[in-house]
Amino acid sequence: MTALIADTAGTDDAVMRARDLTVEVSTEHGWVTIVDGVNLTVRRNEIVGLVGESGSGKTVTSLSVMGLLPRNARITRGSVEVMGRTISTLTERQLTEVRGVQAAMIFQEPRRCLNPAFTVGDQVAESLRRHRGWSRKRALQRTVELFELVEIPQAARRVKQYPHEFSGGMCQRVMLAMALACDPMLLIADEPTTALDVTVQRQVLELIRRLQAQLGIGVLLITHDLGVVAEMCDRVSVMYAGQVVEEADADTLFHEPKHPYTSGLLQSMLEPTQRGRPLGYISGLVPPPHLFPATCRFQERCSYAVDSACRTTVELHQVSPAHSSRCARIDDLKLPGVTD
Amino acid sequence: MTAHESVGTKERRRRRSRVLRRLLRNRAAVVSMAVLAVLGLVAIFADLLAPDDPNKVALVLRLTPPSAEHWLGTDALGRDVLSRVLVATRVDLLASLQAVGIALVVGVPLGIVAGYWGGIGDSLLSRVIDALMMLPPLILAVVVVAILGPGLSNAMLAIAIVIIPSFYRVVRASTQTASSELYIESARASGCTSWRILWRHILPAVAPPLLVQASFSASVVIVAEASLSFLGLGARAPQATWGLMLKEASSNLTTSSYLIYPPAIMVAITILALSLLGDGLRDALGRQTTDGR
Amino acid sequence: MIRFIGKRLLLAVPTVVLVTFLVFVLMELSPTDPAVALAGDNPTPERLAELRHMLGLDRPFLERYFDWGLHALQGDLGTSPVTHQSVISDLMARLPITASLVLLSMIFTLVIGVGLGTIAALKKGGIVDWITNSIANLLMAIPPFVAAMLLVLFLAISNPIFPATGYATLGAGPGLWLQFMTLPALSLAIIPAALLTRQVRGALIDALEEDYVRTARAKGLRRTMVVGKHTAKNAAIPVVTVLGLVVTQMVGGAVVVESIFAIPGLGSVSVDSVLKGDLVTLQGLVLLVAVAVTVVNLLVDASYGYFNPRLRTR
Repeated sequence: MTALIADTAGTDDAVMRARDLTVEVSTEHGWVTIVDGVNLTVRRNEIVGLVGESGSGKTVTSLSVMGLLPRNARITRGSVEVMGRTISTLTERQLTEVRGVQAAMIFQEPRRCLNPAFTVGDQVAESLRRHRGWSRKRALQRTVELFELVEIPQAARRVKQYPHEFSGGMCQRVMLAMALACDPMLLIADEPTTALDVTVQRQVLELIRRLQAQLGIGVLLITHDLGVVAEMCDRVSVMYAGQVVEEADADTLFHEPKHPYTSGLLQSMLEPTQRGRPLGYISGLVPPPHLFPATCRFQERCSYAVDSACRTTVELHQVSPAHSSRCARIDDLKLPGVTD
Repeated sequence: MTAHESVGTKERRRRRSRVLRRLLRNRAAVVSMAVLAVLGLVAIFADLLAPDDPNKVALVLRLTPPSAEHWLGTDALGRDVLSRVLVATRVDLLASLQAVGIALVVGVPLGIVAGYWGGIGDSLLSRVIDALMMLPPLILAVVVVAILGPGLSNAMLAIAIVIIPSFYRVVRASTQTASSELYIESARASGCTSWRILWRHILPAVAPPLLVQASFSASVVIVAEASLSFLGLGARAPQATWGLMLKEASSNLTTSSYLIYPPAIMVAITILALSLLGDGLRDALGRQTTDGR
Repeated sequence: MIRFIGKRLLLAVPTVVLVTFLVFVLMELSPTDPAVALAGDNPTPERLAELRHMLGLDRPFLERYFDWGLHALQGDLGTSPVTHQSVISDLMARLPITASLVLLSMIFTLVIGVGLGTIAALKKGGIVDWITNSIANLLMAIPPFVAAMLLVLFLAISNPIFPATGYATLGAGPGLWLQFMTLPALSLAIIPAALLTRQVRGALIDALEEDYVRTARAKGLRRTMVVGKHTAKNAAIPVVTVLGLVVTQMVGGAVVVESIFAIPGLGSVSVDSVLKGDLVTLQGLVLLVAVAVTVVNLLVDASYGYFNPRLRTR
């Protein structure tokens, strides 16, 4: 049941696969589980969305794919594979051969992610020099090409500039160029447009979409914005309080959500075409990790919760071969989705 | 009692107790305060504590290592080292108080005047202070001693001149911050006189950072006094100060190395206590200023 | 960048002039008559008058100052009434000695401070960090001359590894230089090294928490490269600021340390001048030190432009 997606997927074209991934962090309350049994697969030629509120564990999941978990966090169960290599078994040195080469990552707040003390060209070229052993000159030449690929105008001039001379959107393009420098098969984009202006957001998303198609790579797009998911993703996993609560292809998820949380998120989306519809909301907050209940974790905020069924541990139930939900009332609930 | 006054003073009182609590939670700062208190007691009761007359010369006993009779041994003139180091504590602490006192009396009013009224006086004074701060402290002290002539009092005056700039800067900066605060503007608007504002509002705002600076400066004074005495530009024999005792120890380093330790340890302990107390005060106050925002 | 430095330079010149003027004023206010101090016991009135004329004391104060300033601009700091030597050539002969002492001391400070600070930052919160911090606190409480005496005691007297006194400049060859200058330089370096350790630790911890560090790791850089390149250049600014302050401190510390090790540098000359009442040499020394401090500060300012590109375009 838990290894649902992994089993149905053709194994060959998977670029990243998490199996039962469980991560704990050390807090003042001791070691606390913040990611609990997550299964996730990203294949070539697709964009997978990982959706959730802050505190749902989506960023921790992505950092464990890169082997970038902070020192106070550890994988206690399960594994992550990138291009068939299990991340947790690799030494730090072997990890540096995976990062940037097989999997690359871009983040929120691109301006802060670039080092203010070096030119942007130098920072992109650094990856090529490190992984390909290229000379400074050759790497810089390739960097100019990469800048053209990510549509930075006047690339040859811009490579010699410093991050503070770039706008936020341009910085994210630099980050993309850096990420794609060594032709990785997996790109993780962690809230890549959250810190950007709305118009710029759109341009960057379109660029990611175009590059993904052009290069045939797999993209794991982490976001809290279902609007972004609707535009970008082929498949979606929704996370709540450290667990995947629903996964499906994007169309199904939007039209026939099978988890009250997903449905709630959809209802709270701003739909420009549906003026006058009352905006839904989910009351309350994601509980802190040390207070995750052993029962259905969403139960306290769920308007459909009933005592009998929801007071137990709930497994991920399969709705159809490519759709599953972690709701105890999966069979008797008819949840509202998006109407076109 | 007008509204702005009660707000200002009440807020300040609450802050003060918060700072004190934070300071008392800092173990290093508490230990430092205890050490300084002990040093203060030693300074006050040095005569009673000293087992011997610190200036009694006994050439037969010269350079005897520590023994039951002379716990820390005797120096080149046969004087009891323990008695001398105790009496030196008084001389050094008094001298430091003197230097810090002079610097406060000069630096604080200048800083307040410059910070509160600004203008030409401020820019002129600040240029002079910049110029003084440019020279390494010890060089400045040496130059002033050259002009005033050697001796402990002159050395302390020289050191006071060296630390005035840091007091001036701290006071000027916190006066500027305080006088731009809202309750002071409202006090001004409601017709409080400048003197009243200075006394009731500016001075209490200046005091905490000044206390931190005074703590650090006192350790600078201890080092500077010891250095000047060591060079023969400060205290003169037969006076007992830590610097002079170190100087005497240095001329007998080959034969009687035990002479270094008592004054060296006293100097180190005093500096350590003062700077840890300063750190503690700054941390206790520093977080409070960010809280206030 | 050049404009930035130029502006700093223009600001620094009046400060240097002001320092010399202040010292002149102080000397004018001095309760002791320099002529009396120089004349020795029972001087005849003629001898005093002659000395006063030689020192220029019979002329108005401002005239004397401008005269001194004009000569100073031409590189002439007058003649010492004690040694009857040219002040500038005496100081210039001593400058390389103190400079080589401060240089070695800076090297020690950098090696110790950057080394310990980096280790403490990387092991933040651990036992190593705690030990380093405690040692740094403890070392801060040891004044240079106490450190000098202890070092002489342990490394020159008890274990005769280094000579207890004497000096060699860098020009005498690095071997000899190290042999003589290690102990004095080390005594001067102790407090600055402790200071730098704390500063490097703090700056590096701040830099390591920046997002660009995560980026650098995500592109597969090794840890040494991340710390050595990406955080180092950003952490350098506060560190360089401290280094600038430290040079000034070292020049002050040299006053005592040189006298302990019998090194005839600028520090010793200041003490000698005071003891002999040689205010002319002292006045020249103040100018020289002020200029040296200005140059160091300019170098520090210039380095900001290298470490922080934002300053260059402004």
